[in-house]
Amino acid sequence: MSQSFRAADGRKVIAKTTAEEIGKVKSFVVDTTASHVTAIQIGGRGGKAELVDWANVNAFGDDAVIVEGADVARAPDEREKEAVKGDIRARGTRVLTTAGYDVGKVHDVMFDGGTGEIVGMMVGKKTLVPADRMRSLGSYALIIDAPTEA
Amino acid sequence: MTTTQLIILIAIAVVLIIVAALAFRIRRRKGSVMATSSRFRRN
Amino acid sequence: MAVKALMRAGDVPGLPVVCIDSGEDVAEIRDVIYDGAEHKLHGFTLNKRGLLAGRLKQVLLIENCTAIGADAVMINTVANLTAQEEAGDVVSPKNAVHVIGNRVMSANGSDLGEIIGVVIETDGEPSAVGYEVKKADSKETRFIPITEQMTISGENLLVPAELEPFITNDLAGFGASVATYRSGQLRGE
Repeated sequence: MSQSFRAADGRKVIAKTTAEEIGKVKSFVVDTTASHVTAIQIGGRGGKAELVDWANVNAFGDDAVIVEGADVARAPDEREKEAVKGDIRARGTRVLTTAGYDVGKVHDVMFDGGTGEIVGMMVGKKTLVPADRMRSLGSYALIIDAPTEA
Repeated sequence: MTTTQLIILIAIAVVLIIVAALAFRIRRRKGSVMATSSRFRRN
Repeated sequence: MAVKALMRAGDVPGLPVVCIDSGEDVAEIRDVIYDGAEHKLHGFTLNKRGLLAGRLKQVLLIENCTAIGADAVMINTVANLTAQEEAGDVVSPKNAVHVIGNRVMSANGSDLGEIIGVVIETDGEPSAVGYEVKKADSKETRFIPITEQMTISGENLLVPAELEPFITNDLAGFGASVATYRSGQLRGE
């Protein structure tokens, strides 16, 4: 099931063991190759952010995210701190092609709710860049392959 | 001159020095377009 | 986008150097250095990132650049930067002269103006292809295609006399002018 970062913002996070709401989706951590969601921030901020590894997400539904228990939440590592502080974040980051041209900013990120795999990103509000063009995501930019000249 | 006036004068001087140092630093960073010259070529 | 990628060399200093494998900006361009005789770009000296950060003790050789774009110079990975000592004298401001401000003199002795910019071609083997020149008494700038026969000293640029007909007024028409002049050179005209 395809999900998007924008649509998932603020979605309830519920623990399976207690049926209690333990947080809300605040942001996503994406790996350096911009291919997977590796963790979800469900609360806290900065160095005190609470993250849940994608592996511990039981289901990413349209109305709620189900995790095993409240104990799966953990503190961020160094790169994840940059991510939750907004230094490395997919949404809003500058997009550069491998040819060195700035083509806009990431408006939204589409991912597979089952696997956490990123399927594409909206650059600006109109252009969907498929995952196979993505090279990396860092604090400066998301790097995508330059269009091949026809 | 009163002590207050002296302090204000020193404060202004310090600020000016900092501004000048920053301006110098920024200017020094500026790069340029250069060509290797035949003058330096030794075969 | 079949047009040749021409860029003003003066727009390159200040561009970030970005790694394709990490999305990080690892440096920014300080000086653009090209070969005064063969006109191929040698590479760039670098600054650290940040408004007040100083010079980086590494340089970027042109063969390690993936692309020179309007918004960034791309490299594959941070290991593509070379220590200044290893790069030798090729990419060192000590062995190069400033280009901007040189007087352009034709071989028959007429002053064609002052260099205010250098046009570089960024595809393939990046090289300087032209000079942007302005005469003191005129507001308009003109473009002179670069040829093998030019000599630059840091004060003067001496150009062949037969070049004058190829001087154009706009950068768009300049790509064609360079090509025309080159093909003329090839045929020995």
